[in-house]
Amino acid sequence: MDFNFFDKDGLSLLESLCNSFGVSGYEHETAQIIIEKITPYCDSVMVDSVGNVIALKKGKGQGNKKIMLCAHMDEVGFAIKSINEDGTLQIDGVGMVSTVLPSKRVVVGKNRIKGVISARPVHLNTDKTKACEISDLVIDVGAKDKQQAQALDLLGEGACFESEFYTFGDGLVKAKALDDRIGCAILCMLTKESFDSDIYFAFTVGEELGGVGAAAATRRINPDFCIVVEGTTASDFDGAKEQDKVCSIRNGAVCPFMDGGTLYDKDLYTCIHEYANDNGIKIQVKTKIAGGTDAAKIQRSLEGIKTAVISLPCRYIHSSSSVAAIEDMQSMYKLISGVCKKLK
Amino acid sequence: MEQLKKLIQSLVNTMTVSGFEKTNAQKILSVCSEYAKGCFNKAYVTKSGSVVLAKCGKGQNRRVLAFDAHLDTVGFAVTELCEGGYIRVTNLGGIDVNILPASEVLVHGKKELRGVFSSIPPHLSRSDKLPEINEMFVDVGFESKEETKKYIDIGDPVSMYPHVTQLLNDRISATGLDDKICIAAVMHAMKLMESLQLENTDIYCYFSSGEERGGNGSYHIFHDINPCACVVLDVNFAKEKGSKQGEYGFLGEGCMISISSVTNPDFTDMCRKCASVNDIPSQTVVEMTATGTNADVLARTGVGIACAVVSVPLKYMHSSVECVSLEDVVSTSKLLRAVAMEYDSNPLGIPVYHKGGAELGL
Repeated sequence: MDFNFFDKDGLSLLESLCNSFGVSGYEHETAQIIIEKITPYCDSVMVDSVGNVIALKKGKGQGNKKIMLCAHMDEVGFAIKSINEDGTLQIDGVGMVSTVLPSKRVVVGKNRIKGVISARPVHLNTDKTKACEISDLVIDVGAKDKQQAQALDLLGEGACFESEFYTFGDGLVKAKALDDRIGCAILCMLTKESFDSDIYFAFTVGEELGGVGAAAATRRINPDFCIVVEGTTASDFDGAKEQDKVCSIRNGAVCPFMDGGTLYDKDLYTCIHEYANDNGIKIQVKTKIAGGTDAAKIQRSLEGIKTAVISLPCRYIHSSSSVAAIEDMQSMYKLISGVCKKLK
Repeated sequence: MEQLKKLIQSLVNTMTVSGFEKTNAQKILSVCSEYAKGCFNKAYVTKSGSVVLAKCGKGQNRRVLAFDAHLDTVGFAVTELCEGGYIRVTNLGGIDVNILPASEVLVHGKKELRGVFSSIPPHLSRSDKLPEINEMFVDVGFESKEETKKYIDIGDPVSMYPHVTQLLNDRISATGLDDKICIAAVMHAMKLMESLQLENTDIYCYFSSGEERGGNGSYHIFHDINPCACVVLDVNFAKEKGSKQGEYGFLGEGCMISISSVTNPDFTDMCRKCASVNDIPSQTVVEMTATGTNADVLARTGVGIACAVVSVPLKYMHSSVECVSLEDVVSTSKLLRAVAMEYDSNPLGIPVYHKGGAELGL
């Protein structure tokens, strides 16, 4: 079966995953969507003690290798730290810089109350070059005072961006949480294919907290190989120096030899690049070593796991408006599917 | 209330970026006429792009009472089409670059195109210094300058994306509520006055252009409608995190009435009395040297216009998530109705002629 991200089904799955609420530590809604999608196609599906969704699709072959595919469910977001006298909410961020926060829309807590992140009025701003810090900002849900806000039971609840999913320009998608709902979407679609090897699908929690779920999942699965399917940062801006771009959208799947946390398995890296080149699939490496993934935790698990990462280049990652190319999603999908069939 | 919300949504959806408000002045006019059908007998767009809706009576020696709210909002204009298909923009009106990274916009080129402001991801950002607006760009998703050029030209307006969010307690968050919320308040006031027959006063709603560029449109109000008195409606700062003591009102506690040296003290007093006599929630704010509204211009216009400034308290001014309370909008509308009635029966002798009058030209 040749899955195509250009078709409506692929994009609408990605849309429902991107729009779901899944801030690190609050991944339940995203997990439910995934469980619903994959259960018909897998031999077993479980939620482990930390909240990872782990599924197995048995291979058709003999003496099968165990391949683990890993995508994280969590996204950057906030937790409500305290409630102010005027009914606004003081926040703490998970995995984000404060520069993308002012003046954005959010949803808060299990009742998904709508709110906005504050922005200081430009008229009252004395130092216009200074970026604000997260402690300067609040979420405003419209509560009149502390008492009313307290009654909403929001203390300790999560909050995530609200941002529509849409396609625009020359084949691009804009959404929140493309990192890493693209990985989740690709894994979900892969459960429909058949493989010779046993494929373990690990949808992990807490990647943005440093790979909380990935370590637990790896120890449970103990795979022969692991491919982490991710979203990575593309800084292919006009005027950016070539060495600062990291990678570029429309240039294909990103398979780096290393990143901020991992030196990837050389054999697996070579295998992936060979497959891409042999089959005319666009592939690129990172030109700047930045960021880390679940791979760091996975590689160091048990006696050491052969690990590689295949990522989608995303502009403005970790913001409410990340942007990626549909053709890169397609390249990634073909590549991962092919490599899983090739690995023996 | 639902109708009022719909009006606000339609007003917010209509692009009136400062400098380009004329493009959609006619649309604003029809949105307003639709809301307060039958409450006017005059409606037109002026040469300078301001929208006028008037309720005029019959008879001689009628005075004009104007309700001024500005039509334009802060926004951007395209300054450069870049090689990578991006565009660069400059701001029209005061915008804090803090709010821009990852913000969504609408580019009004040959067709409406969505775009997002660039942002540097945490893994790559190295300083807490903000870039200037001309160092940032808007991603409209095109692969090349040639493709972008087909749809977008230098000088095209760009607006913040008109998301309207309903918060708790009938509070609403959106872009451009400065000053569209006051246009809504004026229209609602006209609706409240539908059956009211004023003896000596014509009411002119004047939605002026160019306030964010220094009150350009309001320079023409004297020529256009020659008002004796004018209530200037704008938004004012509501208390939010980091507000300085004494420089704000409170959201949800009623319209704000300014005391200032540029406004007419008798007219301002009348507004305050109308509020207290009619139990309309209101707050007083002292803004001595300038109000930061069209009133600063109007007091210096024509032969001078007696102004009062009434504001809707608003949080997060000039951002894409400006917040207001609908209760404050309604109290503003009620106050306008009360002021119109009071002014009709007692125009305060503005202007005051101690002797003669006619030979002085009015």
